[in-house]
This record gives sequence, structure tokens and C-alpha cells, in this order.
Amino acid sequence: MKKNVNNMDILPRYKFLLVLLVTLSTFTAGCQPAPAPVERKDTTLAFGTFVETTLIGVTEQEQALIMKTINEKLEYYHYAFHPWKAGPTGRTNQLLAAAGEFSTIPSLLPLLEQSQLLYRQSNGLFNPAIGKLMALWGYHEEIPSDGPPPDEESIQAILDQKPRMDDLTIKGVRITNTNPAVQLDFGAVAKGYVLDILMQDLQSMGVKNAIINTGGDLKVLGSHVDRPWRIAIRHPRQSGLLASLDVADGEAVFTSGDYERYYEYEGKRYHHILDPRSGYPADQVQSVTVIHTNGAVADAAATALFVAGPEQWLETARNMGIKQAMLVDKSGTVHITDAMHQRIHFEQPDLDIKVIATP
Amino acid sequence: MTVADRIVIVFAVVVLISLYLLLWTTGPHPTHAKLTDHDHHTISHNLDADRFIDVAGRLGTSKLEINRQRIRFVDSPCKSKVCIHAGWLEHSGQVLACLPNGVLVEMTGGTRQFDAINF
Repeated sequence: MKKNVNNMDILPRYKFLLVLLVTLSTFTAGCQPAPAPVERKDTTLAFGTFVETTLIGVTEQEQALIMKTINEKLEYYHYAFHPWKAGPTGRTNQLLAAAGEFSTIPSLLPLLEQSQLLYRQSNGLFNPAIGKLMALWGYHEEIPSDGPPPDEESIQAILDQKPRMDDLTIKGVRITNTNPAVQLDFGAVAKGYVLDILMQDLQSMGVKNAIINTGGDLKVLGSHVDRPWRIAIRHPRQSGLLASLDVADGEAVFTSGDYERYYEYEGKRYHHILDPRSGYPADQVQSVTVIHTNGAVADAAATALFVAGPEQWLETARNMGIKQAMLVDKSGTVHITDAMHQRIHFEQPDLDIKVIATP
Repeated sequence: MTVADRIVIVFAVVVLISLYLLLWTTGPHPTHAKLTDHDHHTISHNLDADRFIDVAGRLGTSKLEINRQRIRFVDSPCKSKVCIHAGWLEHSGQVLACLPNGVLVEMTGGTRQFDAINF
């Protein structure tokens, strides 16, 4: 009898334990995340770089078909916009060297016209007419030179010829060139232009959510379904990350840095972002990041703002219609527009950050 | 509440927390580096053991170093050395290529914090 009473005493005690376990189980079960949307990723070498395409909401078969189309297009555009191979740009460059009037390849016209507009907006700081200068420095090639840098006379000789996009008059497919020193190099705009086209292609194939990362520059479509697309920006001097942010539907994020393509000669570093005014690599900046819905604009502006430097970058951004930009100057100070600062999260402590009113 | 009761409660809570950590979260660090050679052969290398790895490329051999769950190019027969200049890869999802040599590296496993790294 006494034993039975004891059992009855124990029960209420364990009721507490039972309630605790049920509560915790219910709570944690409620916390269980919904299954993440299926990501389908493809990484390949194309367009002179790596291309990482992440698609959401497509089947494996659909992905295979989409990637076939994307890779074929990347191959074509790499050929089409290559400055010296025998594609449309290479052949146009041969005709430009003779000056005068000629018919260009129609597929080149939209990029040519947009580049001329961006050249004018940037006041010549983005100048794809300096192909001769790029070649002289060895950056025309996919495998750049390892030095020595060109001599001053050779650089000055090209600067004296003043190759400008305004030397070209475009009427339909007819181009009139008044300056035989003009040679096209779309290296600072083609990637953005192609990303714009690829995103339109993805949409036409029914893709709603995608991100394409071409060698570190990217454009997104839609979202990750369960959250926004989330990206990080590399630190220009350390192996870690500088900042991170969510990227909205249709936005492109482009960074130009002095750490990507360069060579060292006798202890000095020569990178690939040339200042069309001096003929030498622009030396006031470590990196510039630009966000814009037009990939070609973001691409060209990242270069133009890099060349403009900390003194002129805001004026250049204003002229090019850029509101979201960040510049890391040669001392490591981060200059950032208010519009970009509002959405960015810095990943490094103790950064010297200057927030500037959006131009 | 007896001592036995307390032990049972603490045990239950510990088991629940352990199960949560074990089943619903993954570590923050990438676990593997996926290396693709110029013939599109892909091998996934565990990042746990520090070592050097040779990968056959179009121009010759690219040498990579795994150290503290990171990886980097230490030598490559390319002229530009863009791959070496890029330094360590340490985040899941980071990608790097030695283009002239046709060698591709991709960090996999762990919690992927970002959908892409911009540079």
C-alpha cells in the first residue's frame, strides 16, 4: 500500500519533465527550417575567365539545356569581342587601322554604340579606343606580359595620336573613322554587356531565379526564393572579405581592382587598368565596386571611377548615372556613397570609412 | 525534485541541444576543394590534412597548397600569375582558376555564407 502511494507521488514530479520535453520538442520541431530550394550550379571556364551559373527552380534536364545555350553564347561572344582574333571586333580593328568609311558587323553595333555613350558620359575615362595602348602594355593578350613596361616614348606616341571613341561616326552599319590610331578593346565593358544578354536569355527560357558570376563580376535574376541573393566583396589587400550585401532582382555588381591582373618588374607592380590620360596604370585606387541594373554600365563605370580616383570619382559617377559605388583608395580608406552604405555590411573591423552624399 | 530528477532533466536538455547541433547545422568552414584539370577531370580533396597537390594543366603542372582548411595556388606555368596573386580561398563557394593552364578550384562543403564572391 505504501509502495502505491509512492508511485502516485512520483508521477506529478515527472509531469514536469514530460511537459519540458514535449515543449522543447515542439519548439525545436517548429524551428526546423523549410527545405532549401534546390540550387543547380555549373562552373566552367569560358569568356576568358570562370563562369559560375546558379539556377533555382529548374529540373536537371532543363539545367543541361540552359547551360548548353549559355556556354554556346559565351563562346560566341568571347570570339566576337576579342580585340585581335579574327572575330567581328578583330576584323573591325583591321578596318579601323586604315581609317575612312566601312561597314561593320551588325552584331557589334549595340556594344559599340553603348560604349560610345559611356565614353562620353565618363568624359573619356572609360575609353575602349585605347586598344593600341593595351597591346603596348601586353594586356591585349589573355596571357599578359611579364615586363618590362613599355618605354615612355612609345606610350607618348600613342597618346599624341589621341585615340577617342568620338573619332567614330556610326550611321546604321556604316562607320566613319577619322583616326587610324583607334583600336577597340572592350575588356572593360564586354563582360557586363554579355551578362545583360545572358540574363535576358535566361528569362526567355523561363528561369526566374539565377545568379551568374563571371570571374568575380555578377548579375542576378529574382532571388534565392527563400531569401535574397547574398554576396561578399573581396578585400583588395587581404585574403578575407571587405563587405557583404543582398543583391536585388536585376542588379549587377562589378568590381575593378589593381590586384587582378598585374605583373611585377624590378619590384614595381604594373596593373591592367590604364589611365587614358597618362598612358600608365591608374595609381590612386585599390578597388572600385559599382552596383547598377545595367551590367555594361556597372562594368564601364567601375573602370571609369577607378581611373577618376578619389578626387573625381563622384563627379564621374554623377555623369554616368551611378548612385551606388564604393572606392578603396591607395591608403585603404573606404569612400562609399550613402545609397550603397545603407545596404552594405562591412566584414572587417577598424576600417576607415567615409560616407558621401549620393551623387 | 531529487538529484536523479535533476540529472534526467540535464541529460534530456543536453541530448536535445546535441541533436540540434548535429542534425540541423553544419560547420562554417568548407570541407573540400574541388579541383578540375584541363581535361575536365574533377577530384574533390579533403581540406583536413595540410599538403601540396599537383594538378596537370594545359601548359604544365599547377601546384596548390592546402593549409588550415584553405587552399591557394603556389606555382603555375602561366605568365600572368593571376591565380597566385589571388591568394587563399577560405570560404565555401569561392572559385578560382588558372585560365591559361585550364585549372579550376572550387571550395565546397560547410555552410555557404554567400552565393558569390565579387572581386
